[in-house]
Amino acid sequence: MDLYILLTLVILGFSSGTIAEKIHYNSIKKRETELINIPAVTSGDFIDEEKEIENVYFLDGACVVALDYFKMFFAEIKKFFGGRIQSYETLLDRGKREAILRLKQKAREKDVDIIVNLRIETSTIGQSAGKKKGFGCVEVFTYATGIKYKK
Amino acid sequence: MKYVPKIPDGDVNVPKESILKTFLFILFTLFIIIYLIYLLLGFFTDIIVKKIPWQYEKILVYKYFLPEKDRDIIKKEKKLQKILNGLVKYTDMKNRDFKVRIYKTDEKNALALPGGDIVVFSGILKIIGDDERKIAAILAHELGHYAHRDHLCAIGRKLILTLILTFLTKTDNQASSLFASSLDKIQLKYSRDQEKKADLYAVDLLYKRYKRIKEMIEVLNALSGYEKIPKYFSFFSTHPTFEDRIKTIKKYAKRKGYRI
Repeated sequence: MDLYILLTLVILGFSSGTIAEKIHYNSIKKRETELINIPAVTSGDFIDEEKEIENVYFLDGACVVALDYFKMFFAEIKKFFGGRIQSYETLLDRGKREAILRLKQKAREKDVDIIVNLRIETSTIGQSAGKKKGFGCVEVFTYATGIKYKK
Repeated sequence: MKYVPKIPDGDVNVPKESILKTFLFILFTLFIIIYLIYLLLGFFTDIIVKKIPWQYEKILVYKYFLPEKDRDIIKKEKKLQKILNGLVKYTDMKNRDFKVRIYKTDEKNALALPGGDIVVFSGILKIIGDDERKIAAILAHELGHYAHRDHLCAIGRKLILTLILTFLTKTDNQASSLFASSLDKIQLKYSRDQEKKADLYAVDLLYKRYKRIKEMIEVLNALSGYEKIPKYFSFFSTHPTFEDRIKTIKKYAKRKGYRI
């Protein structure tokens, strides 16, 4: 009976996961185009020294992504052979892009001209405290400095 | 340096190939590998097991206890033993000593235990009655298991299965439980093949002893009324369906020219 429950979960995970992923990617792409005019760079060298700075902000954006059953199952059987775990790649890609978008959203609210020193961190949650069986999820956290020039 | 806003071309982090295709491919490959390992080890077990001398098999067996018997059962056991001895004379297992034991339960079954103890459940005796030839049919089937050393093969294969499963479940994940339950099904297929072989052995033996095998078919017919598993679920069963067994026996008897 366990076999059927497992198969149902995997099929359910695959169908719902695929649909959710498609919708999310569409939304990500749309918002990325909208927010493209706010430059975000990892270095601090891009600050225009000729302009006077009006304000400096601490910006952050976080996103927690969880696995669906199919992604987890896929990763587990892939572990037998090794290699790319495609199901995790898209998940983390979505997480990173979503977190950056949230950071940019904040930047736009504060009317920031340039985002510098952008950093991305990840940490696993839900599987900590030595628990072997837990539903894996990852928090992607981005932080940066927002610069607003005097107009 | 001037900043020019631009969306990068394509999603480099998103895999191009279909994830479902990769998934099915890996799953299939893993099944094949595990199945091959199982088949290979099973094949060697069958060879080794058949070489285990009879005396050692007796040593391997641990003592087990059957509940206390009343007089009626002891009498019946004696009768069954006589029938069994009559059968053994016609086999090439004359140097082995077989013992019949009756176990009181409603279950309709008989077992061939390692070491030569045939356990007949009283439930099956109730159905087939006192007819010597019918009882002989059941005993002959169990003798078939001894002739092929099926009981030892089954133990050996179970051991391998446990070994593979332990190795798999050590990784403690969902995938291994999937493989575990599907391997169980393979084991059942093997078990059904053993039953078929034992049936055919019984047919030969009964014909040698009584010159007829009508009773064997009658016994299977009688038991078929008590079949618990529906026909289309026979994949999940240790025995083939009675209908199948009767068909196979009739076919075999016809080929050998036995009178039914």
